[in-house]
Formats: sequence, structure tokens, C-alpha cells
Amino acid sequence: MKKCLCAVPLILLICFSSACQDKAAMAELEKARNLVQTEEQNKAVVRQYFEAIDAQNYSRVKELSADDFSFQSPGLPEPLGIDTLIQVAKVHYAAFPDWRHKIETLVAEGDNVAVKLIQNGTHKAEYEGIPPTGKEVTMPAQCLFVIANGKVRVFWAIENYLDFYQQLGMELKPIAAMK
Amino acid sequence: MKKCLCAVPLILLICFSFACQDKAAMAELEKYRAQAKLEEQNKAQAKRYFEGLDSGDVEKALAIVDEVFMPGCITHSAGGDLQGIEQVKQYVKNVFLIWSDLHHPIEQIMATGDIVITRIIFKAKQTGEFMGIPATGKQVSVPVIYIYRFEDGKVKEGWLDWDSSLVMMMQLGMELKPTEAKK
Repeated sequence: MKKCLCAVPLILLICFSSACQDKAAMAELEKARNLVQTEEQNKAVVRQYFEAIDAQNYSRVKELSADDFSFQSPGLPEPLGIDTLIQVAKVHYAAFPDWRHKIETLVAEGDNVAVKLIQNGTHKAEYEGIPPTGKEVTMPAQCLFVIANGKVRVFWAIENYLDFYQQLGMELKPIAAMK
Repeated sequence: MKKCLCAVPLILLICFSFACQDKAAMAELEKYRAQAKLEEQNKAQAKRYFEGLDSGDVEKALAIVDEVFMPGCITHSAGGDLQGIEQVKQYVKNVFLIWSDLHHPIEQIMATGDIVITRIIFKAKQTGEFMGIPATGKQVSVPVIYIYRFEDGKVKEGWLDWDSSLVMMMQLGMELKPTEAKK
């Protein structure tokens, strides 16, 4: 009888400490699982973003953009807000009506999402003073996003513009050569 | 006495099932912890490479290449692929011949699985010939994305995205003109 009674508190103590350790570890595990889920959701936001752009569904693009949305790209003196970016897209689609973004790789870490993609379309109307060439043009891009609460907050695009303009018949010359 | 004896197997059963659940969950948690640790290590390695370039010391930069890259690594860039670590070192030597005051501030860095992606700003002064352009002494500041795939703590494959080259060329005094303009 006495031996049993001694064993019971010991067993209860072991159970209790097991449960405690379990609790802290479970909380950490839950956090890790939630992060994976958030990352999947953030990737989905980026996919929807490009689908909306390709569909020229600008109200949807705006819906998916945070209030403090900013678009940045090398060569831009200032980041663009969503309304300006939509204007830029409209100008682009006027010249390249079939412009598409094809995602090749899409990865996420927390709120950061990275995309490697290929863009292509046909040069059907004048673009930045360049008369329509009728050419099928491709432009690879690497983009980095920061997603906040299911919306795009930061959109960085690094696109191969040099090759793009060369496909349209432009070339690089020293500025002095024109004088 | 009998009541005690009944309780003990029940208590043991409860302890046992806690331990089992705990084991599966712990294995999953260990997996996440190991992954997070690896990602942090890979990020640190990626940063080391830029530290080497920014040190201004080509020998230091080359020593760091040995620390960061695998001997059989492959690096893809717009100008072609660098096969193996010796070609990476040659690339680094060329960087030091063309550019001075190198600075690669890291604006964004993320790691997922064995991949590290960095968005850095390439800042330098052109003091050597670059792609047919004689040394201009001009400063360039161009955002660039570098992607690395790690294996056993070292870079196995890299992608140097020089798609910002139009901006860099413009900073070096070039401009786009229609090809027919010369005729």
C-alpha cells in the first residue's frame, strides 16, 4: 500500500513535466506550422497578382495592393504607387495586348516572396516612340515581394530591359556620339 | 490496495501516450529547427561573399570565395556560365580590375530550403575597361539580385542577375538609340 502511494506522486510529476515541456514545444511547433501556412498564402497572393495583371483586371490588382504599396525597379528615380503602376501597365498593354507573365519559380520566406518569371508578348502598336515591329518579344524578370495581410506592400522588379529594347531594334551608343 | 493497482496502469498508459505524441511532434519540431538553422547559416555565407568584395582586398575576397563556394560550383550570368571555383575567382579578380570603391549593401535577403536570394545594390567606381567602355571614373549604383543554391554549407549553384545592365550602361554614359540612326 505504501509503495503504491509513493509511486503515484512520482508518476504524476513525470506526467506533469512531460506535459509542460510538451506545451512549450507544441507552441513552437504551432508557430512553425503557421509560418508555413502563411508562406503558402503569400505565394498564392503573388500568383493572383500576376493573373490579375495578365487579365488587365486593374480593380483586382488594386484590391491585392496594400495602402502603402510601392513598386520599385532599377532606373526609377522614385518608387511608384499602385495608381501610377496601373497607368504604366495600361501603356504597356496598349502596345503589347497579349503580354503575359509566366512564373518559373516561386518561393517564400515569411512575408518575402521571390519570383523568377518570363514575360512575353507581341509588339503590335507604338511603344515609347518605337513603331510597331510585330515581333514576339520576351523579357525575363526576377521579382521580390513583401506581403502584408494578404496584400502586396512592396514589389521589386528587375527586368532585362536592355535585351527587351534590343529586340525592338534599339542599341546602346555613347551619349557623346550623337553630338 | 486494489484501487491503487488499478490506477497505476492507467497512469502509465497516460504517460506513455504523452511520450508518443511528444515524440512525433518533437521530430517535426526538430525538422523545422534544423531547417531554420541551415537557412541562417546559408544567409551568413551569402553575406560573407559580399563582405569579401567590399573589403577592397582582392586576396581576402579570393580567400572568402574558397570558404563560400564549392569547388565544382556553377554560376550562371548573362555573359555565360562560370564553371568551377577557379572561374569564380577569375571573375572576382576581373571585378577588382574594373571597379574600385566596391560596396554591396544588402537591401533584402531571404532563405528557403537550400536557396538564398539577395537584393543588393552594386555600388562602384569604374576605373577599368568594362564591356568596351574605357574607364570613365563614373560611379554606378544598380540594384541586382543574386540567387544561391547551397549544399553542405557552400554554394553549389549561383545566378548573377545582371538584368539591370541597361541602368548601369546609362550611368556609364550610354543611351539607347534606334539601330538605323547611324545610317
